[in-house]
Amino acid sequence: MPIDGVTEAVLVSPAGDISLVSLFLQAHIVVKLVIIGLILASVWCWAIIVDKSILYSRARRQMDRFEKVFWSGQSLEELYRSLSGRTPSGMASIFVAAMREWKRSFEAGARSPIGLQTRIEKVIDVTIVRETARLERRLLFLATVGSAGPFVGLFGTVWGIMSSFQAISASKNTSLAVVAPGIAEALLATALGLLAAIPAVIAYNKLSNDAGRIGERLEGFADEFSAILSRQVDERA
Amino acid sequence: MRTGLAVSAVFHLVLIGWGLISLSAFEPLDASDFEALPIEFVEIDEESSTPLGIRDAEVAEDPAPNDPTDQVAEIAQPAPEPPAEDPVKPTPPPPPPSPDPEPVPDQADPNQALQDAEPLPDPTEADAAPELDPAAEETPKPENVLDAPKEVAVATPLPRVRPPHQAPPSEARERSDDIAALLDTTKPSSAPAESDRQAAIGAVTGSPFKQLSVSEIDALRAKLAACWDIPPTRVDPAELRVKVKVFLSQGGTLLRTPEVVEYKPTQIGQVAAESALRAVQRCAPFNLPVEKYDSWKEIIMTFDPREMFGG
Repeated sequence: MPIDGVTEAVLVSPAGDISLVSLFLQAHIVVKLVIIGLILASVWCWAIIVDKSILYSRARRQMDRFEKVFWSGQSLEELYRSLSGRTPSGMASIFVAAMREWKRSFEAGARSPIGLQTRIEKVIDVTIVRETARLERRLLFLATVGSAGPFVGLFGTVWGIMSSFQAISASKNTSLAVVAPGIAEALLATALGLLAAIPAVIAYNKLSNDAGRIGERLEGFADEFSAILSRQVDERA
Repeated sequence: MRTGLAVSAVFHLVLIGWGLISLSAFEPLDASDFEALPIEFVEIDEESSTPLGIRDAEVAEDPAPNDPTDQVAEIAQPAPEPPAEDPVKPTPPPPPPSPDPEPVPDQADPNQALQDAEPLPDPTEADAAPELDPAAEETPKPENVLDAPKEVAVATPLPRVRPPHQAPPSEARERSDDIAALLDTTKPSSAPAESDRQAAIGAVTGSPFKQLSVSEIDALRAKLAACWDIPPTRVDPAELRVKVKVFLSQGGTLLRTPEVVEYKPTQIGQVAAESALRAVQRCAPFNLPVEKYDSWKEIIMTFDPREMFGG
């Protein structure tokens, strides 16, 4: 029965061709590049998301621990000595930087309390900027993927549909079995673009909010600590 | 960062693996062969041109549908057919007795058809039989008797059925007339209006002749608007509304002077009416389709500045 074999092949082949791998392998090179790029972007986005989530929760825990120790009535000198040995982060780094400046000024025998106050505040500001930069690093990549991902995917889709239409016009056959794989392959690009962009946007909003809150906490601590130091300066003067 | 990257890579690999497994085998849609619906594109005309239908369109084959006896003939038709078929089969000429029994059912059938419950007495049947023979060309010879029904079979139904109605004596005759009168009154009144042409079983509300199409009316209106000098006033345009009845020949010329049918009985209205009459006479040969002459031989033209000039 050769005729039956032919019709079966014609009927079965298009249905079997719509698996993800075959879609990707059939796709035009541009669409392939778009798909690969979107997958890489998605991987990197999720890496950033995981990394930042870990970082923020760790930073929050460290700040809690430090505040507990700081307000426990322990002497600042002792605290400084215990912290200066390792590389501090967050509030500890602000505290260490301010204390270092304070000690240096007194060891050098500085007599101007106003100059000391200004120097301490500058040091604190620089540390805060450095800390927030560390917190917010790579967040912009999430924002970029979130806004540009759908467009990149759409570009792949448009390109794929264009090439599939050209293929249709070349084959002079408009049956759905001929049209469908090309369009499905093109739509895969949009799907991946959305798949990369949606978590990126959500995570960007969440993470930048978290970073902003941590930064506010740092600034609050810095203000309090600079107030304490300024009181000390006035007392000693 | 390394942990994040590792976690993300693993997450994506799992996701892609899940996609490969679950999305690779799409169930084919259940697109079994369905019957193709034949679609016919019907062009919609500007006007409805369905010819006026009559209810008894089949009867229209008859030469004289108004003849009341023919209505009876319709019912009585099965009766004469046996004599028409019978002579064809037996080639040997049967003796005179053979036509005799045949007119008897002939006689009985119209009565049944007329729903006469009263059984006819025998003498009438006996009378009817001899009378029918002269009616069928008055030839005692069997061969001729045979020929006559043959002719009847070929000829139109009218002559075939008349003999039984003329033949029976007064009673049956009167009854058939009564029924005929009844049938006459119950006859549908929607007869073809003007012509003898074959009427289709069409719409009851169809128009018997073709109307002017919308575009033709518009063209006529535009022409009249060009010919019409509106009296230069600043009054309400409703006062200038004039209706003129125009009588036209087939060539589009005026048969006689148009009549003003409706105008506002004010001074301005009279001026407007006169100007409308002048406009009709100035435009005089109207170029209208001849095949629709019935619809425009008497036409009422409305002169309204709001309609004509869109004001």
